[in-house]
Amino acid sequence: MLVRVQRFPSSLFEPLLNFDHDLENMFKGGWCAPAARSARQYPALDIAEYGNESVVVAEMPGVKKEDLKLSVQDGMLTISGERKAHQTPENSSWLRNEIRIGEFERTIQLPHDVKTDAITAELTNGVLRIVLPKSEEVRPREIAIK
Amino acid sequence: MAKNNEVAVIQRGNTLPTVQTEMKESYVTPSADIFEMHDAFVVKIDLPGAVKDSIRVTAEDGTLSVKAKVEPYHREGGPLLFNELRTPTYFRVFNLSDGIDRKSIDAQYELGVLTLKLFKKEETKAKEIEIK
Repeated sequence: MLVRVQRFPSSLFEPLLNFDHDLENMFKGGWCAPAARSARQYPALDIAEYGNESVVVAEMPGVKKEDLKLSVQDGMLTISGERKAHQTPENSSWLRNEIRIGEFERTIQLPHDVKTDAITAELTNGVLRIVLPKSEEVRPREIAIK
Repeated sequence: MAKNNEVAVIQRGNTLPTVQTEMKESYVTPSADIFEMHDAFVVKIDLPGAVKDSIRVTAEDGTLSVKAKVEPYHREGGPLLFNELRTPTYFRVFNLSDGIDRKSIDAQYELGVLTLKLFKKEETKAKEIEIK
């Protein structure tokens, strides 16, 4: 599987960087997340930086906690999981199907050194929020003037 | 959440219910799945980030509308290093007809997905006709 690293800030080269990914999807004919239709990856996410931490927020409605996996390695955060199909009773017929299901994976580069053992994550109302505390070395600190 | 007497029906139409969305303000149209069972229609709508209490399901003049608000994802103070999300107001309108019992509509919200179960009226349920 091709893992593409999203660097930020997103650059003018993003469409080019996405090209191999799009090409792969085009031929695979597999699952294409809603966000991926606009040459974006799934799940769509935000990263905000504060003094002592960064917060990653990603939308993933319908994904259960137990079907979601987070891992951090070599300064990369990988969010992977699966949105499972609805339980539809027998003898039911589909009238409209817009919601995409299936497996997803996205890898992003962490914005700074992170205390990996202090990372917390919660999934609420279909939104994943990951708090990445900065390691001591990269925290802002005031320097006393002697 | 939906009050019992507020919610209504799906147009049974030819095969597909007609769906239309109004865009008056800056709304985001959420994705929806609809399927039909013997006694009910089920509508599933993705509303990630919506708080349960902000979801309004309203039936009026033959339409079923769903509206929900998302609280901002970020607190003040930090720069956004990467930004793909919006914190939208979700809004979508479905055309409805009289085939559904407006008094028995079930609405549940879980994992950012709203599930509406719209029960059919007795006379609109599919019936097997015995051949004599």
